[in-house]
Parts: sequence; C-alpha cells; structure tokens
Amino acid sequence: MEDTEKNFTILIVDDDPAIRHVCLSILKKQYSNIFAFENGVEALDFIEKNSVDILLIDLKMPGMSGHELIERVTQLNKEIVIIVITAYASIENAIEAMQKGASDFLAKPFTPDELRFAIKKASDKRELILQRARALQEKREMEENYLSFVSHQLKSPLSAAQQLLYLLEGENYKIDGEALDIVERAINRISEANRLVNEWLVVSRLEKSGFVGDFTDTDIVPLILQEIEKHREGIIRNKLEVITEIPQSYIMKTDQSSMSMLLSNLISNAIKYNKNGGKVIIRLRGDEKHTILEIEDTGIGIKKEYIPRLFSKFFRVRDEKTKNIEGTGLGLVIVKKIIDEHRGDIRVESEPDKGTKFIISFPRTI
Amino acid sequence: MNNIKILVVDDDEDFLFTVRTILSRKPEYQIFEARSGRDCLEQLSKVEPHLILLDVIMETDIDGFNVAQQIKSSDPKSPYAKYRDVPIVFLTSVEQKTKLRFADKIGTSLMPTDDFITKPIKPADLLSRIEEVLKKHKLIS
Repeated sequence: MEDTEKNFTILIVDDDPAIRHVCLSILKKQYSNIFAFENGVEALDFIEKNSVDILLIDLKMPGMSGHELIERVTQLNKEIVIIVITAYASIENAIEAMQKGASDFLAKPFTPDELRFAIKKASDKRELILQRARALQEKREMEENYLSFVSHQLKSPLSAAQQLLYLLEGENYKIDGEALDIVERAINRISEANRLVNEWLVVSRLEKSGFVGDFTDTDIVPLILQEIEKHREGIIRNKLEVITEIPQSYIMKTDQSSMSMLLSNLISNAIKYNKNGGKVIIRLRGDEKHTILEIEDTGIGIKKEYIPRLFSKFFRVRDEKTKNIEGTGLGLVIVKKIIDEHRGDIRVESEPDKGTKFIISFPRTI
Repeated sequence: MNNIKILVVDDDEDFLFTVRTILSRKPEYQIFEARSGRDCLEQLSKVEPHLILLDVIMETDIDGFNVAQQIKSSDPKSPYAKYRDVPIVFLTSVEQKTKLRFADKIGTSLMPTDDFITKPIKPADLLSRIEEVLKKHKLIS
C-alpha cells in the first residue's frame, strides 16, 4: 500500500501562489507526482489527459470556480478523490462541494499536519477504489473465461457428433429411406443444441456491457445484402420473394458485427415464420433524427397476447403452426439488446395469418 | 499436382477421423495428422505440407492461433521460416466475433488468402473450401 501511495498523482488547484507553494513544499517529501495549477481550465485539461488520484481544489477561484471544476471532474467518472480548500467562514460552501462529489475539506488556514492527514485519508480512499476496480476486473475476466470454457466444452462434443452424422448422411454410405430420415432428425436436434449454446453465449455476453464494439460510421446496405445472401437456402426452400426498399448506401453509427447479428436474426425469423410463396420486405430509410429499419413478412403472424412476451428469454410461441419451426427463444432477446445498445426502439405489428412487421428506429446521434 | 500433402491438426479424435474420411475421397490428397499444436510444429519438417487444416481451440498444449503465429512469423531466424507461405485453414466452432478478435491478434497478413471454416461442416463444403484455397495458392488449377 505504501508504495502505490507514493506513486499517486496529486493535483493542487488554487489561484493563490502562496497556497500552491506551501502545499507543494509540504507534500513533495512524501509524494513525487505533485502538480499545481492556478486555474480550473488548465487543471481540467491535465486531468482529461492523465491519470490523477487526488485533487486539492480551492473553491473560490476566478474563472472556472471550484464547484464547477468538481462537477466537471465528477462527470469524467475517473473516481478521483477530491479535497476542497475553503475559508473557515464558508463551511456551507464545503458542504455543497461534498454533495457534488468532494470527499473531504480543509479549512484555511491549515497546519502541515492537517494537510498531510487529509492527503493520507484521501490516499487510503483512493487505494480502496483502485482495489475494488481491480477486483471487479478480475471477476469480469473470470466470468468471461468461464463462459468460453463451458461453451467450448459443450460445443466440442456436439460439433464432433454432428460432423460424424454428416459423414453418414453423405453419398459414401448409401443410406436412404428410414435410416436417412433418422440421421437427418439426429442432425437437426444436435444443430439445435449447438445453436442454443451459441445464442446463450451471445446473450450472456450482451448482459455485460461492452459486448457491442465501438460505433463507427458504417454503410449498412452491404450488410443487409450479405445477410439476405446468407439466408438464400431458406428463401429458395420456402419459395419466398425478397423485396428490398433500401437506398444504394446508408451510413449510420453502428458496430458491424452486432448489426449483422441483428439483421440475421430478423431476416431468419421472416423466413422461418413465413408461408410457402410468401414475401419478405426489407425497408430502410432515414431523416435527420432517425434511421428506420423495417422487416416485414407475410407469414403466420403472432397472436396479440404473445407480442409483449416476444423479447423474453426462451419464450417461444408453441402451437400447431410453430411446432415444426426450430428456434432457441433467444434470437429476439439478442435483437432487443443490440437495439438497446444503440438507444433505439423496436415495435411489432402483427396479425395472425397475415404477417408480422418489426419496425426499428435508431437515433442518428448516439 | 497429384500429391497434395495436407496436415490436419485437431485434439478431437472423432473430428480427425471424419476429416480423414472426407479427404480420403480425393486420391490426390495425402493426409497427415497432428493431435496438438506442438505436434503440428514438430511434424512440419517431416511432412512438408502444402496445406494445414488447423483447429483453433486445443486443450493439449498450444492453441491454433499460437501455432499460426509461429509459422507465419516474419523473423528470418524462425525455425519455421520455410513454411511461412503454407496456407492455413482454421477450423473452428467459435462464433464470428471471436474469430475477428483472433484474426486481429495474428495480424492481417494471414487474411484473406487463408480461410476460416466453421465446424461442423458438410463433407462437400469442406472439400470445396479446401479446393478454393489450393487454387488461390496455385497448388491446383
């Protein structure tokens, strides 16, 4: 503890050169990283660019006040420990500062021991904050490793079994009729389990923050076309017509891989829950404020009472029409989480036997 | 070329078995097997493969990405410098996101000539993907 404490970076922000000088000379024997600033603007600039542990702020400064500096620093979420320096007569000021996020105050005039003691208390607090952050980080890493481990342990045997069955299904073994049917049924069930593990993994990661990568300007039109292409097999099998009402190119701030995942899930649903010979309509448009993405099908539709539950984990509509449709009950959970990360909204319009329309709205500025 | 040497690396015995069975349909392929990352590196000089099919997550010793990193290393003193241009096809059951992260790790020099195949794969698809890579590397026409 002693060692890290010595390496703490301490900032003194005071317009009074005497106070800066006194603080520096008292503290420099114990701490090597001490900096003094005469105004809030310069201090804030330094804090934004560097790692700072403890901040001593004079409340009464010309220009940016101490109170304002505290507010700005707190917004940075760096969990810097703040001590305010204030005149004896203005304890109310100190209280106000502490409500805004300062953790202690020093009343002027103070003795060297009082200053050293305040810094010592602040150091202990900062050390605890750092320890807690490290523990949280370790916990996150452990959870992530656990997830990867479990999913790999589950997936390896599943995919090996599926791979073996693929072999049997192939032309080398000349199996047909009932035997081929049995093999195909087994393949379907194993791939269902495989998909479940995959989607479960995605949902678990989505529940922690940081799953969706950095948002960058991305043309999502090629992503839409790619996803349609990936689902070609299902489109042909169900004799579907895919209609796209989309511009040549459309740039929005998103993370490419989560956007692809969102599109994949919705397009796959529009195919699975469609009727033979039906339509899948994909529309994309935008104005200054919103991007609207619509995915519509002319399929079996959803009963009104089921719509509110569509985005719940493992929920699936189970009736005569859906009993042969494979699914994990996680696809729309993933879709919803991705939309939430974009601060967007999703709406569902559906009528049994007519079809379903998912309408997603993303704000242009995230 | 009628004798294409393919080194298949996987710690899963059943997976090696299926890949061996699928590839043996092509008489021009000669199949060699390694059961771990280290085993793969050790066999390079003995086999002199034209293509490596490499599992990503192996629990035996070193994983597939580590193996690829060593083979593709640009260090002229690397013991595997001779095999730097051997195409590597990754076999993996991990999802897209993880693939991209790993691709980042080994550097873009690997892509796009090399390939990622997601397990399980239909026998016909595996054969055609391998053929594609061999063509790209002008090992077959």
